[in-house]
Amino acid sequence: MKSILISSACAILMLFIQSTWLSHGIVLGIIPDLALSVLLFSSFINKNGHGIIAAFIAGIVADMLSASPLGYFAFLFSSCAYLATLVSYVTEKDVFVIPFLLGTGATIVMGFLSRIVVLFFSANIHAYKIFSAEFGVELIMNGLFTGLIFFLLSFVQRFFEHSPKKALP
Amino acid sequence: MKNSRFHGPTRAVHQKAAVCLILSLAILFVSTKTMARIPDIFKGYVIGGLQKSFAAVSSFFSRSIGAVSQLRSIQKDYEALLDKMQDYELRERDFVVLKEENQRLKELLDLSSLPDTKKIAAHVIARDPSNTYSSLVIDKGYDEGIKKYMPVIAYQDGIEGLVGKIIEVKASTSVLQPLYDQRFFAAARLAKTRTEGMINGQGFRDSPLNLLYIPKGEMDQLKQGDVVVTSGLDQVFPPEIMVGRVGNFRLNEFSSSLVIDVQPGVDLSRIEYVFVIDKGPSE
Repeated sequence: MKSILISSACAILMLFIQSTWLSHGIVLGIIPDLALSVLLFSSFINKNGHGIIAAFIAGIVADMLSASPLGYFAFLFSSCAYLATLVSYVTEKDVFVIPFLLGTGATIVMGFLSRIVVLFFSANIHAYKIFSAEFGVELIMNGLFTGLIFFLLSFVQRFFEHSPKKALP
Repeated sequence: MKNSRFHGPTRAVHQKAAVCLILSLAILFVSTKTMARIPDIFKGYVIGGLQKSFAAVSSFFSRSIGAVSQLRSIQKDYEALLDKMQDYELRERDFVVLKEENQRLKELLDLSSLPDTKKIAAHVIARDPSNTYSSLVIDKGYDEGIKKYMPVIAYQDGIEGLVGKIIEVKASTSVLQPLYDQRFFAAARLAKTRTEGMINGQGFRDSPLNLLYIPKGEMDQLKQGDVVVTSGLDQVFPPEIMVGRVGNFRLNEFSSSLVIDVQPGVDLSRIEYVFVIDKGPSE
């Protein structure tokens, strides 16, 4: 429970930072998805699926902050978190390569899933423009920032980790 | 000891993921049909308040840091300003003459910009946290009389330009859809030839807008830099608000209309204050 609360709180904090302090973007007006990076970190280190629940909570808050319909980012974030949890079973965390691949991979997954969501829900839903230069910038930026977030959060990893109660002797 | 359970994700992980994904899709389904009132209230008071707080903290720090560096340049600026002052005194005389002339011409032509409208000034405090949605958040909501679909303009470098429209209203904040949003559409026309078309954003702040449905017959008269204004035919935007200037244009094969890039009249990357236009009670 603690890991879910801390992960979702940290991701929500990142969402507020994205919408205010980073609102002008970094390159070409593109905002790095720091919240997604935090959720990927949480999902990667919590193999029990707590990161997915944190992603769902943070996604709902993202929907409230955004002009998107409720459930849109909840679905995208939960899917990426699920993916990161599955990846954690087949590889170990390293300094840069795995976080970078997770960040870029999650962005691509979000891009494709947003296209699928648009097909099924006809309301005012926006999809990523996968073949635009801006998406390329976002891809690289998310990869780099995920590396940075993984590095920074590794110092406080114990707060994000699920710590099961020890069995009584 | 059973080692097999460590080789892959447990059933519980899949179950949690399934619950979260199904729940989010269910919420998405409901929210795209009807927005529940409770999330609106939460968004209006809690989220809007938090966004304002974050913007205030950001503004406090940027102003504090900026003040220190400004002190250094104030001395230099002071001396330069003294010189400029003399220049401006001369210009002021010209300005008074021009103002009187302008007033006279306006009375003659009965052309006042947006007559009978109330303008509500607002500060842009936040942006959409994602890159897919390009909405902006302003610090005025239904408490200040903002309503959905009200047009928004801004003044920049002496130009009154279109910024977008209100798409969501909360208690003390509102969400504004800028004209570069991929779902933004407005009835527009070329100011010179009065040909009507439709303006549409491409989703990115630095990308030009698209002016659609201008017949290919207009190609000979069209020039780069031609002004595009709102036509008012959509009943949302008042007519004659500047949208931007024509950039590149081309004719696609097998198409009956031109593809025209329009550079927005207002630079939306440095927009801070906007005016929401209240056209009065709408029936």
